[in-house]
This record gives sequence, C-alpha cells and structure tokens, in this order.
Amino acid sequence: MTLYVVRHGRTEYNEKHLFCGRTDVPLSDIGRSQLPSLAEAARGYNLDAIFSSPLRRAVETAEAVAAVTGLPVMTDDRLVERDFGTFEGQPFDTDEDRDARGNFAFRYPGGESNFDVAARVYPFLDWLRENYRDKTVMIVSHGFVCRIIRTWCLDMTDEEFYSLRHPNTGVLRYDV
Amino acid sequence: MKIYFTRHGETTRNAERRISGRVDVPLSELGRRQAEALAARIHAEGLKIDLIISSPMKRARDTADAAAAVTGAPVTVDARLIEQDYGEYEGVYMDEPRFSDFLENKRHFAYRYPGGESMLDVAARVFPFLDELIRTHADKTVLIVSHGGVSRLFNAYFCDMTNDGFYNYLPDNCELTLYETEAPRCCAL
Repeated sequence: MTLYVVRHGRTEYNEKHLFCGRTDVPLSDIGRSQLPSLAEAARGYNLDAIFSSPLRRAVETAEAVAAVTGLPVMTDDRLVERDFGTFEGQPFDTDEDRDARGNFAFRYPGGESNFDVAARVYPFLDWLRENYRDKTVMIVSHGFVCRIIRTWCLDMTDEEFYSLRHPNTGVLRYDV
Repeated sequence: MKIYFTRHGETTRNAERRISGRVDVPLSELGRRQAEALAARIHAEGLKIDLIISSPMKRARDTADAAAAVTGAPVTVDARLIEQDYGEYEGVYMDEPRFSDFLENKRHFAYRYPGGESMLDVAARVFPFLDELIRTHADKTVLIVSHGGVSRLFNAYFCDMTNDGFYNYLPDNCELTLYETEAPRCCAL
C-alpha cells in the first residue's frame, strides 16, 4: 500500500499558535489558498481512495483533492486530532503543557496522550492495509495524528518524534 | 469497577535473567509457589473476583489457574494480553553486551525491537482491550494476569507516567495492583 499523508491547510488557530484539537475551526484565507497546489500535486499520485478526519479543516482540504481526482472523501472518526482537553484554544509551547508534550503516557487534562492516539490510529491503519493492500491511499489529518501515522509506517527515536514538523498541506509518502 | 492486575509468577527464564517475550516458558518452582501465595492472599483478603482474564501464555495461564482454584472465578484467555514481542532480543541474557542495546531501544516509544513490537504497538492492543473490558464488565471485579511489558501500558491507560517512570516500571512477579474505574480511560486511584 502507498500512503500519502497530508496535514490540513492552515487555520486561524495555527496562525495564532493555539492548540487546535477537537475544536472544529475552518481553514483561514491562507489555508484555502494552499489548496490548489496540493490538488495539482495530487493529480500525479494515482490515488485509489481518500480518507479524512471528519473535522472541517481536514474535509475542506480533502475535497480539493477529491475535485481533481473524482474520488469521494471518506471520513473516519479515528483520524480526528488529539484531544487537548483544557488546553484547547490555549497558546502553544508554554511551560504549562510541558508534561503532556514531553511524555508519551501523559494526557492533556481532560484530553488524550500519545498512547490514546496510537490506540485508535493504529487499528485504522491495520484495517486500511488489509482492505487497500496494493492500492494508493491519501489520508488527510492533523499534526499529532500525522506524527503517529509516521510511527506506524517506520521506526522513530524519541528525538525524531518530538522534532518532526509537518507543515499545513505538506505531504509525506510511505510505502508499507 | 475494580481491575486487579498481576504479573505471572517467576519463570525459568526470569531465574536465568534472560529476556522473555513471546517464548512460552513455564513457571519455575518459585513461580509456582508465588502463584499459590497470590491465590492464598486473594482468599485471605476476601477479594471477590468475578472473572479472571489471562494472557494466552503458559506462565500467565498457570498463574491464573492457581487464583481460579481459590476464587471459583471463570478464566478466559485474551490474545491482546500477550507479552510484548521483543523480536531479536528474545532470549538475550542480562549480562550480555547486547542487553545494553535492548535497554537503549527500550527508551524509545516508537521504535520497534527489530522483528518485534514498539510501545505504541502494545498500546494499540492493550488500550482497546481495556476500553472493551470496562464497557462490558462495568460493575464487576476482574483479575488480569499478564506480563511486564504489558504492565507498563496497562498502568499508562489509567495513570499519567513520565517517560522515565514508564521505562522503570515493572511490578514483581505476582504483585497485585488495583485500579478502580467508572469509565474508559479514567481512574479513581
């Protein structure tokens, strides 16, 4: 299976460096302007299927690719972003969230840990590989989920995991 | 709901100080006595176990059977409780040079033991097991019999752990840990 893993286009929360997990914000103007290049690149991927997180920023991004490929967008709840609990809408990279950010088994208060995200994303990916074995699939999701998807596809040291940055509408390809 | 977690009794491999994951080794003499002591403790403390769920490995099943004998609780087996797959490190002795490579690999959460599983792989089977257990047996008291590698994820399901705390976490053979919960992913510890 070949996977093209895409992080949704930019949102206002991204621009203001705020935690954006379950909050269902739309793409910003900049985010929408990023879609045509993504769609153009996707023409060359020979996609068989498009899966997306159900959050609108991901669906809007996926729909730009759907429009040029003629494929439907299939949403799956397991691709929704990590739940940041009480940190939703709070500024990023302060000392406050140091514990949840730096430790795999720490949950954001009222939210999820990295293990929680893996526990829903890995079964989705196992199912995907089972059902799209020799196919090419695009997944449109979010920053933390895209990172977990990468760990399913290949081994990462902790340093690689923490330092990975996936830009909005950036595409990572994996052959699994 | 009360969930008791225990790690199987000492095995012949534990006694030899060797890594044992998927290899299906039996309890040692000491391990058998530990399993019996655990059963006696459950009886003495009056713990009302409704159900015992065990890893499919012999060392866990034999420990579970010892507990079942005093509680009368049914024993079922669940493949998701099987020990972490240590891949190429299976059988490595703790005084071998390769053991330090194993320990280095153990530090990383998303790095599989070559030919084996990562911590995230184990979470991906243990967490759904616990979600289902809590939904299905909400008012019961359940004893889980499993392994050291699984114990870390089991604990992480209920409690926040630092990376160091996770790395060092290992219950003793037949040590009993209680988790009380009312909903998936929550703990009243």
